[in-house]
Parts: sequence; structure tokens; C-alpha cells
Amino acid sequence: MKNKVEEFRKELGETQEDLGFKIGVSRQTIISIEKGKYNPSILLAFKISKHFDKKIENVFIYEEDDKDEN
Amino acid sequence: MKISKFAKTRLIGSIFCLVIGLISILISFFGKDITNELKNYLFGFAFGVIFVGVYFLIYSIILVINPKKNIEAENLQKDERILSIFDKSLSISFRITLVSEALASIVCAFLGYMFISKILGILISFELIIYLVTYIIISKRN
Repeated sequence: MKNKVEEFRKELGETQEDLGFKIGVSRQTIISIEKGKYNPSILLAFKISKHFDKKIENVFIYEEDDKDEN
Repeated sequence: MKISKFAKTRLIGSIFCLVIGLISILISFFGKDITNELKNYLFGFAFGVIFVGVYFLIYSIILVINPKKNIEAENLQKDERILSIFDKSLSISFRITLVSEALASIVCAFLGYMFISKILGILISFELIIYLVTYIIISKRN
């Protein structure tokens, strides 16, 4: 699964720490999500999308060949 | 000053550790009718517990003074990635432990240490029963 978290975060001028603080996760989790190492739960994905005021499918892009990466 | 539930829990924990440590030290110094070995053990135990207590006390004071740190610490506790890492490492440790015990049990049986082999076998069965019970409970809840 690809995501545009880094892109939208930079648009808002936030640091990884700021974003983590606002949505209630650690900076390391934001780093992992941005790098695509960690796929967040549906709840966290919704929280992130809501924070950016975007639709979830615009922030997280599902790809057919996605395996269970977590 | 408002103390969060998270900081309060740590503070209570630290006070508990310090009290236990203090009681153990007092017993190790002034306890009558106890062996020197037990005194030394109690002193070592008290030292460890007091160390943990002081650590938690400093940590909870930092959390009370700095509300941002407190929120960060709370976030860390419920961070789903950290919880998933915790779950995965626990599950891998459990599997490794089970396999090691099974291998040790077989080796012991071949070497003639039947008692140890039996104990290990019972331990494995016990662990698997606990696993089965927790699996059933969790699957019913989800």
C-alpha cells in the first residue's frame, strides 16, 4: 500500500513529531508509515485522513499486488 | 496542579516500590532471627526495588511538570505499531520457547534423564492448554 502522508504533512508544514502528537502515535510510527514499512489500522488511517481533511483513498492507495506487509 | 491518570499510576507505583524497598532494608538491618544469607538477599532485593522506585518517581515528576511529555508517554502506551511489535515479539518468543522445550525434552529422553523429560513434557502441555484457552476466549470476544 502506498500513501501520501509525507506529502500532505509537508503541505501543512508539520513535522513528523507534530503529526504523531496530534493523532496520538509516536514519531517512529509516522516514519514507518511514510516509508511504507507499516500499514496502519483502518482506524488510524481514518484519523490521519481526517487530520489532512482528505478522503482515505486519497491518502492511502491500495495496490492489487499488496501482500500482508505488517 | 492537575495530575493525569497515567502519571498518577506511575507515582503510586514508585511509592509502592519505595515503601517495599524501605521495609526490606529495615528488615535486613534490624531483623532478628534471620540468617545472614536472607539479610543479604533482602538488602539486594531492596536495592533493586528502590532503584526502580526512584526511576519511576523521577519519571512521574517529569510527566507532571511537562504535560507535553505526558501526552507523548500516553501516546506511546497506546501506539498501535508498538503494541503490534509487542504482540509479535511475544508470539515469536512463545514459539521459540515451545520448540526449545520440546527439543530439550527429546534430548533428555534420549540421554536417559526421564524425569526432566517428563517435566518438560508436562510444561509444554500446560503452555499449549493455556494457549488454547486464551485463543478461545479472545476469539469469542472478537
